[in-house]
Amino acid sequence: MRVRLAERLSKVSDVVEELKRASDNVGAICVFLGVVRATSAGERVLRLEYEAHPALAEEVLLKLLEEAKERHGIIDGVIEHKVGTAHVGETVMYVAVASEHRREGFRALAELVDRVKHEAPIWKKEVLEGGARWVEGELSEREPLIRLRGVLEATVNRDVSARELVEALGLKADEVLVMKDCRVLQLHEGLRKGDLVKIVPVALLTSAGG
Amino acid sequence: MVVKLFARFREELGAGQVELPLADGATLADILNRVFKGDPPEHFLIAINGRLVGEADLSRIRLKDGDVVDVMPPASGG
Repeated sequence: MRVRLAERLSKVSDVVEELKRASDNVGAICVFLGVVRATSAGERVLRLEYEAHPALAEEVLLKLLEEAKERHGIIDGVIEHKVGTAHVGETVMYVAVASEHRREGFRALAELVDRVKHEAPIWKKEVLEGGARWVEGELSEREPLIRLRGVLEATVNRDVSARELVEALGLKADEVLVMKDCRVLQLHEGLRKGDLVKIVPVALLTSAGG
Repeated sequence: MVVKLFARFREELGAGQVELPLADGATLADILNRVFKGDPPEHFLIAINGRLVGEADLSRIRLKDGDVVDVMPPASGG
């Protein structure tokens, strides 16, 4: 896992090669590149200026990668983000993940890009023809759709990962455990059609004393 | 104690750092009110001594002399 804030980002081909070397089991590398657009809300962009918290930004980015590894089972990941002045067409962010298969790679990549934009203490100022403005950040929408108050038993109707099941139910992955045959599943583990699962709120275990 | 301001907040308040004498029992909410002159922003990121804290806890967090509080706008990178 590696993160980096810099005025000059690495070459994307170097990042890909670095991830290929992470393990012989790497079967998929998914890469997102953020690029400076020429317009913003119809106005011509002259340049962007990025500022990051000098210590916390890298710490948060690394935590996001570690959580992506735990939640999705990716093998390795790299995040690089620009600081300083960026011009139209310039690449300002890479998020790259290596995984055994494409599915967990796609999932991890989409989540990581969102989380970088919403959680890493990095800020963007747009310098437009009509003047400069800081882009208003949005807080991450982390509140689950529902909060489970008891154990849910269910039969799975199609092949799905534990994480997909939890998210399909509108639950937050770190607030519940998925169990099958009396065993707690890792979120990246797969379930088969016909499997009987129990979804247990972590809060219930805590309030029951363990 | 020291309050450090970042990005938009630094520009709006015209300073990257503010030093404040700490009143007995002062909470994070009190400090934000002072720094932003009674009109703190609705959303922000906060770190105390380099550790991020949740936004909901502000009136419960008591500060001590020597604390460094980083006050940051919500993230807008990417």
